[in-house]
Amino acid sequence: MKRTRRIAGHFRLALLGAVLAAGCIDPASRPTSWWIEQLREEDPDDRRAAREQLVSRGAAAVPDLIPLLSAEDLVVAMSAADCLGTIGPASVPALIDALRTGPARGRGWAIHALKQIGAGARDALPALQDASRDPALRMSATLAIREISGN
Amino acid sequence: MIGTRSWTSLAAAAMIAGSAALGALSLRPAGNAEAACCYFAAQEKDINQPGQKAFITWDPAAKIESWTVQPKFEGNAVDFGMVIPSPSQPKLDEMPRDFFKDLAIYSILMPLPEPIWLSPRVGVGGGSPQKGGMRPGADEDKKHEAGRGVTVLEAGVVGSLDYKIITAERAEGLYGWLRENQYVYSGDEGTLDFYIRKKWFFTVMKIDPRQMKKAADGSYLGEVTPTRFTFASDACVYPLKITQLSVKDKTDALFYVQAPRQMDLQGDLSWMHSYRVMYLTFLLGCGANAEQKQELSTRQAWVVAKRRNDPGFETTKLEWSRMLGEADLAVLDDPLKNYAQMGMGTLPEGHAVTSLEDFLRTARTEMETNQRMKPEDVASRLKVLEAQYASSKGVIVKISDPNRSFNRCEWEWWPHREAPEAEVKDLARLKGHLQQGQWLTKFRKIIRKSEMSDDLLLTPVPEGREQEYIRIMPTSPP
Repeated sequence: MKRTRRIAGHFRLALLGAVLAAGCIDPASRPTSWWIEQLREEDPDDRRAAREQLVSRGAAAVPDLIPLLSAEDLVVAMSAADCLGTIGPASVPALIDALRTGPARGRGWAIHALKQIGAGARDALPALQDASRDPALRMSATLAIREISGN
Repeated sequence: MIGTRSWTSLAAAAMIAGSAALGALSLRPAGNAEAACCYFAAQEKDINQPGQKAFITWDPAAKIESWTVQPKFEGNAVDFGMVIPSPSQPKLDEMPRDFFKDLAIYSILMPLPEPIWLSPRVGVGGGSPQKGGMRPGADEDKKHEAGRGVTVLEAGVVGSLDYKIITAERAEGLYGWLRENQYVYSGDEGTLDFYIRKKWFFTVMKIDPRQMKKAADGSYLGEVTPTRFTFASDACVYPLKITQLSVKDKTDALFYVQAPRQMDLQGDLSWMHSYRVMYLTFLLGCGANAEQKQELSTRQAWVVAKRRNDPGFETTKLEWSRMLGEADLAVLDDPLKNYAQMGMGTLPEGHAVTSLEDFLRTARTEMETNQRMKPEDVASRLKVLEAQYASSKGVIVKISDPNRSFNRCEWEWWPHREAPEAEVKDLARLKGHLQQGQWLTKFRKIIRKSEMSDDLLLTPVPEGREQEYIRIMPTSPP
């Protein structure tokens, strides 16, 4: 009986430790895909935390963020664009690709991210010029070109 | 310009002039019912209906004027004829067949800017003469028909019209000559005498059967192409009187006038009488000043008094006017790209164009933070805004000081104007005819027979009083 109570106690301690450990999981250890899903959370704090984590991963997060530019949920698309813009020049090649060949829905957000990057997105100027011929993208592309080229 | 100095930002937005800050904006017609109805209204009112349509150019320095007119032809060609007097011998050129249609499309008014609420609640001349002029051997036609007092100076073909340019010494001689030479003239000798006394020249025209398609019953089919008459003149005039007798009681006359200064008719016929009332009434909503209110009151009283004395009196209506700048001519270089927001140019102070994405981001922050809307409501509202203010349909403008906005709001929606793509594409035909740096003014007047006792004299609007008008106003002219 004494031994049984001792084992139960150890088990409870181990369980408590696991619970405590779960609450203290290092965010950096969470996979990128997990934080991508957090972008869809309703709580703005959760989304903000997700954005911070994804930005901190830099270029590694770019491939997972690009598809979100064409998300039906505009909040998700916006968040992805903000992340890519904040990551900066490392996002540019993928953003150019998204602008040229990605779904139409996401091209405006790709342009938005490039504008946010600013001068570091100069390589995107030809793609933006081409995009400016599309009536649906002209205004966004024109403003982005001005921002990036400093005109 | 009196208009721009006294405008609020929306009034200024209503008449944006100058160079393109962003370059021209693109166009693809999208589903804006109001803008589309402007196109259909233009089709009817500007193309099909007017009894008289004229594109007038005036070069006051060289004293050269031109009229481009398009006779209406219905039925049997043999019944068609025109007699057009001019102050001096004109040069005739054929103009593009759809010239007046192109002008109508070009001068469709832009839609009025609308507020955006984030939460639901919202001559000389230019142009490219195509063909025309004297036919071979026409010199032989310059002959003086002594008996009639008529001298034929020139003969030729322009488009589908056979013409002669003549002078006359006596009205009854000219009248007889017209009959003998089978030129249809529905007027009287008195009208001819009016012009003969002024020593004007006459261009007489009839259908050239060789240029028209013949129907099975022998009649001729087809449109009479517009013809430009270019001539020296001391003043900018339009020969209204000669049309008097062919008018039953009144005629709807539509004029496009291109000149270095904005042009107007004189006296009671001035379009200022109606335009200023419409514009100042509009300004009342933006906070017109005392001087503007006084002017509105005075002008309204003038119209009332005029109609009391003359119940059938109609004011001349200004329908579009602007000094053509780079952005306006850019429409002709690439109509599909530049038609939608023609002349957006320099925005009023405190206004800035913004992208749809920037607008949605700001809207989201506003809704989440300040309005504390639920996440699902924010998401659905963003989708509504995204669809409603799509870049293909118009432009979003951010206003730094909503008090300077007519709509008293931080965001405005400037819808594109619309017309069928095929017809917009054709606007390139106006290249060369419309000139940068010149005013293009479009006005319309229902002219009663009693008002056609003299020719129209067009004069420049006094400097500083020009009125630019390119956007629909929510008010109506008297």
